[in-house]
Amino acid sequence: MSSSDATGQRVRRRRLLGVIQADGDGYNLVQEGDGMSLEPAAASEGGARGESPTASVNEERAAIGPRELLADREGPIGEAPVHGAGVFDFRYGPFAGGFPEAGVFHLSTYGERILSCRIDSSYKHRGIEASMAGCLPDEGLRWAEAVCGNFAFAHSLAYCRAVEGALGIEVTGTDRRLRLIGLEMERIYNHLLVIARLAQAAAQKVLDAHLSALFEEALRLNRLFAGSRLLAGVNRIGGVSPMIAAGGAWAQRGPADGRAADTRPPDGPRALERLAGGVEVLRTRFERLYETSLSNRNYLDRLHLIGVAGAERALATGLTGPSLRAASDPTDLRNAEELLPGFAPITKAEGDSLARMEVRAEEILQSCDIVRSQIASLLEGGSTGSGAGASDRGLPSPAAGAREGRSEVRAKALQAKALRAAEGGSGIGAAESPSGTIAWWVDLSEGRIRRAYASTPSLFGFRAFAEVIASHIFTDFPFALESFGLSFADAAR
Amino acid sequence: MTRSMRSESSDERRGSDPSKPRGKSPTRRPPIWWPLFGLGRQLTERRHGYARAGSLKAIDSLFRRSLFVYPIDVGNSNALNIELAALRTPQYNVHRFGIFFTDTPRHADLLLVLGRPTPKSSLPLAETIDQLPHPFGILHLYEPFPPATHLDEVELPNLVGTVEGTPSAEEILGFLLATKGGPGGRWSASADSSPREAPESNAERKGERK
Amino acid sequence: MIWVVGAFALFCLGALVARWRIAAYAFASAGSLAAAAAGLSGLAAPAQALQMPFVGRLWIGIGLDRLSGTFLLISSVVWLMLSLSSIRSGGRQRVVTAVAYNVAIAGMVIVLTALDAVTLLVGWEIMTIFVFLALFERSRSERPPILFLAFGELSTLLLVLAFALRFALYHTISLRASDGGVAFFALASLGMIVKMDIVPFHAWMRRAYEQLPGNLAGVASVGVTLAGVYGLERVASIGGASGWWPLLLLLLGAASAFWGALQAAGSDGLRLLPAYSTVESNGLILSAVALSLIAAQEGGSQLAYLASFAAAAALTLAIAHALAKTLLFLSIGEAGDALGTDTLRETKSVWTNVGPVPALGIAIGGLSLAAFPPLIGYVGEWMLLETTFQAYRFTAFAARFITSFAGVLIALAIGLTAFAMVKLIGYTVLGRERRLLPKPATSSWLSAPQISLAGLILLCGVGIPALLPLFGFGRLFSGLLGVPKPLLLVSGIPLFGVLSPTLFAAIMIVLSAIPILSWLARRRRIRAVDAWNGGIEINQAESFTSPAYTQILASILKNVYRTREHREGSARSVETTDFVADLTRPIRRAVDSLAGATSRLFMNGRIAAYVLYIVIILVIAFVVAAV
Repeated sequence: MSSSDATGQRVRRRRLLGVIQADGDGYNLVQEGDGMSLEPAAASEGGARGESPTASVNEERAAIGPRELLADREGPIGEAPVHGAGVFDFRYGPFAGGFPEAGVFHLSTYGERILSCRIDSSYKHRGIEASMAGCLPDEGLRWAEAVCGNFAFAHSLAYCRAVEGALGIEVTGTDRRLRLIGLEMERIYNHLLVIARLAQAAAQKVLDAHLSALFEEALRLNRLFAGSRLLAGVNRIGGVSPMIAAGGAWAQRGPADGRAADTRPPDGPRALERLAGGVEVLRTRFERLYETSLSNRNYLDRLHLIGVAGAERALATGLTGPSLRAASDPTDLRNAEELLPGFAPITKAEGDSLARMEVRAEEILQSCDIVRSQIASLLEGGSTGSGAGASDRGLPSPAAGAREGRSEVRAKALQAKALRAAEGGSGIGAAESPSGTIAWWVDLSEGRIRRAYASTPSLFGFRAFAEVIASHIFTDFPFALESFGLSFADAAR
Repeated sequence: MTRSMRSESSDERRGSDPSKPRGKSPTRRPPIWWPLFGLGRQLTERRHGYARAGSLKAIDSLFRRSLFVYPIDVGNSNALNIELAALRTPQYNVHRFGIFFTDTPRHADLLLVLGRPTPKSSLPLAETIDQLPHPFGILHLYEPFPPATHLDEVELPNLVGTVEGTPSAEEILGFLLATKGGPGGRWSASADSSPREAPESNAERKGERK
Repeated sequence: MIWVVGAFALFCLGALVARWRIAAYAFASAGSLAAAAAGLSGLAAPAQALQMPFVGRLWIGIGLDRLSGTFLLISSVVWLMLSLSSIRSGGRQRVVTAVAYNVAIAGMVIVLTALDAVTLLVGWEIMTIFVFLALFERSRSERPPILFLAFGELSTLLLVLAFALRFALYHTISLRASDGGVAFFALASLGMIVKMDIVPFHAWMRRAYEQLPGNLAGVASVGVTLAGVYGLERVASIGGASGWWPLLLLLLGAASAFWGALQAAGSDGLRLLPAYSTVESNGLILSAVALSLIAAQEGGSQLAYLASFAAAAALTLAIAHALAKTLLFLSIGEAGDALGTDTLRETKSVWTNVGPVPALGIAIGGLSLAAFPPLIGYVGEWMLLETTFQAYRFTAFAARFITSFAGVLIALAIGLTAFAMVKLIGYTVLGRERRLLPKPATSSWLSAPQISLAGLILLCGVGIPALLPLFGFGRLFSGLLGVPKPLLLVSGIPLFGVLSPTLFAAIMIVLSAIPILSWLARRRRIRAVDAWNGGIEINQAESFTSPAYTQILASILKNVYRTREHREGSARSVETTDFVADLTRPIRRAVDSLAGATSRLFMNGRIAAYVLYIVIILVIAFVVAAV
């Protein structure tokens, strides 16, 4: 989280993740180091507004981020349209054949060159945060998952962490490990899809076919792990779904979720072993594909120097995740993860589409390793994770054991919930989604959600994309867009 | 999962005998007229039994051989989009069934509406329907959540089916085959491919071998 | 001969009654008809003359022969159409425009019928000066008209030098004698091609065509250049067209065609695009004339046939250019005036907002220039390419090489012209304007010139077996493979290539009849919807613009176009420049300083009048010197 400036002095960078209007006051959601906090707007803006005489101090305190974008998140993202002789608005969307989601790219152009880009994500605006007001925290979880289907796990995890923080609920080491596995599984399939789309845009049909096949394999592994191809319904407040904790029990949820019932007995360790095996094969196959693709100049030239978002621009636009790491900034929430000792984020220097692709590709390999090592830790039953506490008893025994083991945790959590529910409270939770930091702020009172706020990576991603696509030509559009791994659903909420 | 499908019990679906490969050992080289034979016996579809939506009605017998699908997202959480992307992967090979995806409604036989329309996407949705050539069908897939209210305001003409839930790619393929009419759609699913089997993918089997 | 005199008199009469514009243009129309009759009589009974003694043993006068008749006939069609349409649109024009129009055409009559150099030069000067006067009246700045005059006088100067040289050597000023010499031919042909807007002498027309009224733009583009082509052929008939000079002319012509087409493709001006297309057409005509001279000077029956074929190509191209460009200027003038626009990107939906006739005029004229079969432009360009394909028949290596190279340039020019015309037709005729304007009231008979020009373009293309024999090219037609005798145009002996536009048109009609009939039968059952663009109707700001259409060319050829991207605040634009036109900047600068000095000398008033005096004095001085 911290980087050294020119003088070698360590500066803790403060990043602006959200602007929240609550009770007539403005608050900023600020990330500082590994922690996140909500502070009055003035505190993190001082330098920028020039209100304080000690500007230099405040400048350091000022949080970096696209303030005007966060102030009006429903408005258009990007720059004002350009005028001039022959300049027109090339509208791509809302139902654009090439992009799967509903949303509009307004590209000002006089022919081949894109002069400015303005993005309208409002076609996907479902008003999720507003709808959550008055919900029970468990209902809110479904809303949080519905923000973005392919980041469902990261969203629900960040939301759960926020609620757990607000209610002071402890999560067992096992559940934390299972959550880590889910997060990495989500990363794997999303990254595979991004790289497959890049290959498709570059007309690399064979590579695309192989990567797509791996993507489908990853979805099937998800189902093996969680019973849901997109990892929905895994997270619960206070832990993960007991079925998943028992492993293999996903199948029992079948009829309730429309899937056919399965009669085999729950088979936790077996399922996790099979998952580890599947991930291993996937890793081997992907590594070979990736190395082969790196020898293809035709493919790499399409990505090289496209959509360059260097470190400064990336920070100013609020980019996080692989896009930021591709600009040699090692920011990653997993750095602070206790269960991942020695985690080293993958970074590249160039900040172009190629660097973003490389970061994603190497993260797939890294995630596979994390999944396997976490499964190994679970199967050993040992407490390999530091600070995991006494509750980390490894994987509970299948079937009955699971329910027993969990019931006491559950009871404790409910007790805490009941205690806190009366006075309420608020919490911030975050998770490193495949495309960057997802943060949820939840304000509870009397056991119900009063307010919720989600900071989503795609919003910043679209802002950055709108900036970097200017002065490129139309052909570069998909290579720049897909490399950010963005989603309108995520941006519009 | 499906409004109209819910009545169908899983027992019924298993009632039909899972078709086994007919007599011939799989290693034997198929005869040259195999494609015709396969089409006549409808082997490809029967072995996998993708179709589980016997109640979806077919658009028109015109599209039995090929169906061009134009998918649009009107506000789903992206889950349906991802499953549709998965449907285009080599594992499903949808072209084999004569199913193709187009990028414009002008070439489409079936409009696949994904999600509940948000207030802003209702208008472009109506325009898209206006652009469809006759005859056409509309298949509406939407997630149970969020329970937005706009659904009732949108009237979809020529609706061949409405599915609530987040179906997997495999299930979407079943819906498409049922919509297409013709051989693929007439079959109810065989129990041969329960969801349990599906995740046993190549990746996994190889993994076990290690 | 009576017809020539009659035509001349009628045009002069038209100038006299210019206060009543309709009468002026009615006289001009009558004069055009008389000129057409004169042209026909010249074709039917060549060698008529009307002479008078000049000084010494020299005679001056006017006369008709086959060449004069040919060009008089073609020109008269153009004059007639321009005059008829001016009856309708000329009411808003100034008196001086009507005067200039009539007198300039009278000057052209003199040029086309002159028997001797002096008469030719007098006609030449009249033509130049009166176009200049009209331009001067219309122009907001002095520079474009002065520039036009400068290039006009450069042409005159070269011609004066050429005829003076010839007089010194051979003591004759007759245009019917055949004793030229290489130096004479070089100077005289240079003088003629300056008038034809050949690159790099085209700098004047950029601004001039934009500011001339529609009918005078037609006269300047079509009439003056036709006079130039006539002059070139006349000079060639005098002799001296040998050695390297025709090859150089061929290169100039091909380069001009290429450059004009390239600039037409890159321009966004409603009148600038056809103006550059004129440069291209004239380049093609010059190439054809030069090829005919090259083939003729080598001798042999094969090459004699080729020379005749190339001459026919030049004539066909001249007719195509005359008809199509007149139609284009009339239609574009009408559309531009009605919509009040002067760029392509603003001029859309001509069919709905102006009327079907100008839309059809732009479409037919543009298609002919883009070599769309079976229109006349297609026939002419096919003939020219067929001629360059037969470069192997030449014996000299230089002739073969340069002809092949010119063929490449010409082919590129034809392709680029198609690009330019697709842009022109696509935006003005097919482009959809989303805001509808009140439709101007038009009556159909007033559109008769445009309709008849469009019809002529089609008829001349389909009826080429009837058209070319009229001008003495009957032996180019034959029959083969079941095609009846006069319908097949043969490009070489022994057989090289054949074309039958007539048959082509017949087959096209038959083949397209079936889909058209079935469309007509089912028309009521067709459901019309808006263009698909992502589910939302396209608005005005989202329409594709014509500069955007050109952008791909402008950015790929950015070194040729000298493409510059301008950036001012939130406004951006792209500009392409014609740097060849800038090569003649020294001439322009000299003209500027001369004009400045002149106005300082006389301190006041109307520069035009003074320049006119100076030129007249110049001519008188020459005549006196000749004595």
